[in-house]
Amino acid sequence: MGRLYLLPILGLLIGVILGLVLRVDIPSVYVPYLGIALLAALDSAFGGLRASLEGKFNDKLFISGFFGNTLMAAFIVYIGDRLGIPLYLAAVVAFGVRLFQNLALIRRLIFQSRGWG
Amino acid sequence: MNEARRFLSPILVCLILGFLLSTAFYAQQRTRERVGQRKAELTEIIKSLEKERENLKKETRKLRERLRAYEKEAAAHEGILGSFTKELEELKFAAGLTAVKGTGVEVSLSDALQVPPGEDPNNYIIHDYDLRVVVNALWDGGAEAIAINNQRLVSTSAIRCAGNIILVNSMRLATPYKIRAIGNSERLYRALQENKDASKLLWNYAKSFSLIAKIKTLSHIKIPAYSGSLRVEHARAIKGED
Repeated sequence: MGRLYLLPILGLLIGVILGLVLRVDIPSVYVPYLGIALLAALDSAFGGLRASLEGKFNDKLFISGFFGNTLMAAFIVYIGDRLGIPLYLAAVVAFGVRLFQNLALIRRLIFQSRGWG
Repeated sequence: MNEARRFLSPILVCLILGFLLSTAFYAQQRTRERVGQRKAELTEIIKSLEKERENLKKETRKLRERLRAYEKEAAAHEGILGSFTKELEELKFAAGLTAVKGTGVEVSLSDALQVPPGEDPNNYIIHDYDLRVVVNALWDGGAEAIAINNQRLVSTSAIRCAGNIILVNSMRLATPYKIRAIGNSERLYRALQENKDASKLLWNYAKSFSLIAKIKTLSHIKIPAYSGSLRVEHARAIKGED
């Protein structure tokens, strides 16, 4: 039972391999959307990791956040593209800042739980 | 089992995340490769075409030299041909196939050194039509020979735009442009002043868009001969009409 936390990592690996094997051809016009969606997904994943370390992990919140953020990010960038507003930048900054904040928190939580800090 | 179910959503999310990661990586890789390949291909084509042109030019030069040798030989051997040879020389001179010298003007034009932010950069560079305006004004002022950056203008010459360069006689020219014209210097200068478009370019636009425009009257100008091909493929002379 103790090794169950390795399962998500295994899932990540399978996902990576799946992507490399399938080689989905994305038209280069949509590559920026994919990038921003990926950033949002990364942010959600780290957010989930943090929440679970804090013992506040909520299944439904995590899943809805992951899909919601990813799709909304791509959508907002699309709208910005249409309106000529660089919302792309806003998304990159917002998700980027949160990503690093989450990373810092995760580091601190790990230190605390191990009694290193 | 209950414990394992808690990991279901992280597993799913990580799976999708991994898929997105590798897909994005692959897409980025491909785009980069594609752009690089296309660029390399086009560069290769340009290089080979330029090489071909250089070779052809060399050949033209060689053939012209041989022709000249024949002409000289003919002139030396036969008296009747002497007058023809003389006429040929005159025609070649008129057609721009000989280097010439004399008095005239030199108009230097070049792009602005920097474009103020937020301005249309098109306003700050010299275009093909700018060169045409000056050249036309110079012809109007009685120019007898004109060359842009040493490309002699002849009856089939064209000045046209191709991306960020200007083609004259199919040679690629870039800023700064030097237009040299042989003729009566004063008349040429006056023609530039009096031509509406040329004066606007040289005095108004040059100032407002910080283009560099200089006009010099010179007493010694050399203009090289036309070195391109003169091949006529489709046109035929009509006999009896001049």
